Amino acid sequence: MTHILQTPDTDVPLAEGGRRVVVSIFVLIVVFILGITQLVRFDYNRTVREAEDQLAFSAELYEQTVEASFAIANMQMWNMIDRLAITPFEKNDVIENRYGSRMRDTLRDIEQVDSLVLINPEGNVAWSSIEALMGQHLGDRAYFQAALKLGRNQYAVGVPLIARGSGRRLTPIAWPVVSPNGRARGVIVSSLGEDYFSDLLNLTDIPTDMHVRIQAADGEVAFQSNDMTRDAEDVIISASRNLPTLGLVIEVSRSRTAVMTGLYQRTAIFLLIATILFATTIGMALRLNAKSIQLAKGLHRSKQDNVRIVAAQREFNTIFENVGDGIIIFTQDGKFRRTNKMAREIMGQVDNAATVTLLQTLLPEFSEMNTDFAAVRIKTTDDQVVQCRVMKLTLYDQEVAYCVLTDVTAEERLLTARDHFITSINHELRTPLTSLAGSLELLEDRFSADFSGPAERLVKMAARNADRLLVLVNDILTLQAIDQGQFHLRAKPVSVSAALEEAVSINSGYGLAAKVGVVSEHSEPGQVFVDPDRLQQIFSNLISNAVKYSPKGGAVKIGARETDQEITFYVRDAGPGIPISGRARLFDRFTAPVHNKGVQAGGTGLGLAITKQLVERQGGSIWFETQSTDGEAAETGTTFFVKFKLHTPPETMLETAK
Amino acid sequence: MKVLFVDDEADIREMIEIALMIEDDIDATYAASGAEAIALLKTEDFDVILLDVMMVPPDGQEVLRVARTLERHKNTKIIMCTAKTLKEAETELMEMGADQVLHKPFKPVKLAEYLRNN
Repeated sequence: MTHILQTPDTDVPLAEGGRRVVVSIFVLIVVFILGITQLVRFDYNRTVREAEDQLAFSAELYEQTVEASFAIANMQMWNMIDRLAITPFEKNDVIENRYGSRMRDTLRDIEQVDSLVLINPEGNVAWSSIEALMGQHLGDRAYFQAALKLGRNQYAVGVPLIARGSGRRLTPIAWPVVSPNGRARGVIVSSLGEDYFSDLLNLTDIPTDMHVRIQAADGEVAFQSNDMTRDAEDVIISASRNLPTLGLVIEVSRSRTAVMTGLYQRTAIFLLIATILFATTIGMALRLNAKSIQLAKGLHRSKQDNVRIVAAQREFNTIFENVGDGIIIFTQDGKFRRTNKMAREIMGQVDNAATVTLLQTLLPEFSEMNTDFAAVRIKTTDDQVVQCRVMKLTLYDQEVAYCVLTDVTAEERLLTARDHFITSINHELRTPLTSLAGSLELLEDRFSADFSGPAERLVKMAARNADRLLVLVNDILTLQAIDQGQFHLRAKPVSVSAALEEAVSINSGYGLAAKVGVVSEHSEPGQVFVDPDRLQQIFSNLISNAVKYSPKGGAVKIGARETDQEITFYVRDAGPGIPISGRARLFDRFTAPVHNKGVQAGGTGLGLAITKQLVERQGGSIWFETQSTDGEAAETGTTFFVKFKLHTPPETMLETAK
Repeated sequence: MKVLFVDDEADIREMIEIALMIEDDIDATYAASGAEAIALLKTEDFDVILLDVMMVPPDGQEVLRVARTLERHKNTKIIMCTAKTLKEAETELMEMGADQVLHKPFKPVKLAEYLRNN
């Protein structure tokens, strides 16, 4: 039995499953973070590489532009210098005449050149497009010294400087003027200004957020794009390119912020989307997991339930099959038929169908069955009697007949034997008793004159005891009739007062013999609905008992009281009362004497048992109140009460009575 | 008054004989069995028949049935003597043609008076 009640512990594996889920989610998150980091790093590296490539490309583009522009300017300058070189320029007026116009033409023709200065071999400025430089001595300048030593179609680049007057950055370029015979006639100097580089930069279409710087090997800056302050921390990416013709270096750089803006945005969006996707996936996984756990639990529970149901069913089947009574359940259409072992044994069949079919032939129609148990006695075979209690009940929304079968053959035989026995007693005992009592009666009545004193006393004793035996036999027969239900009552309305009067008249003679009066002291006007003969039998039994125990010269008082639609008759004596020890079993059959010897009156021991049956069979009740010396009562006595419902005649009768 | 008393108990018959001995107006005949009673009934007339029910067959009921088939006993008073106190048994006897049912044990002293009164 107990195994059904125990619940196998299922929570442990499920909890382990939960922990596994938590661990796997943790691992997933770690992998996710690592993956994201890796992707961002990859993207970062790629972005940096791309930026570097772009910068390198820009630098190259710019370099080529500058180189090309400078080469063109160089060619034009050399052309002009070749023409100038034919004429020496010692005197200023000659210079103005011979060089001045050409130099001005050159300034106009060559865009790249914004100023021209002619320095003679002594280092003095012989001619200049810039008025302030006229007559200045520039012989100490490095570019002058370098250019003086150069041959035809050569040039020297100076270190970038900041012009004193304008504050602009300049990169001086010096070309030697060499005569056809190889004499150095002087040096022509110009400069590449910031505007020059800036204009070229504009031509190359390099993104404006790129920072371009042109500087000399020693770090002097020739050009710098934008006014953007160069934050050393911020700039991380740069590319450089040599300007071989000018001996300068181009450096193109870009701020990290500019490069990374796209990356940051991309990363942010990517992270957002990835996180949302990841969270959604994890959430779904968790929900699925929870659902699967619930499902697993549910499945497990239903399995357990199933096990329990099966076990309970098995138990029920075992009990049902082996219960001591036969049980047969069937529906009217015969679709549901069930019997247990005892039922099949009683019916002498081997299967459900045959048992039910046989029983149905012995039982009343299905439609006549009640929802309460109705007992039916059926004879299954000639010598088997079965008590079948039939009840209709509703099972699975269907009416089923529920029959409990008990083999009452033995009981029936016993009852028959008892009836036979009692009937035999009736005859075999009463016949001799009749002769005996009758003979003694005749003897006493007709021949007492012939007796001596003791003989008469003996005859009387014999007659008295023969009568007593007859009463006993009668009492036994009465009880048997009651037990067998062969006892019929003919109830009718009985007047309470008339019944009391009749009781007095019937029992007065008996009382008189014992020198005890029988008095009716109180009556009621109503009626009771009982069998009048049986009512008198009740009175006689109670009054005779009362007389037996009443003191000589006393009186038995009877009466009736009406209370709450009920009539309570009473029979009261002033006898010794009923001892406490005898009270509980007073109405039992053949009770041991309740009184001490000397007080106990003779009787069959059945009188009160019969009286109780007579009262209760008529819907009444009987009880008593008693005062006895062992109850330490000063005044002893016993009163028996018999209560019946007050009879109310039907209204129609009342109408006709009016 | 001519009375037939049928009872298979010799003691009862004897007791009744003693009880009725002093009654000059009652002329009693006794039968010791149902068969004897039937034989007597076929030839004799009686005013009253006292018939014990429980006898070795033919029992009182059989004798009653036969008596009522005889022309001479169609209206003879028949009193059935029985120890059965049940009303059903009494009703059955009455239906079979009995005039009265006398419950055993009856008092022999008062039998003569009973016979005269009924």
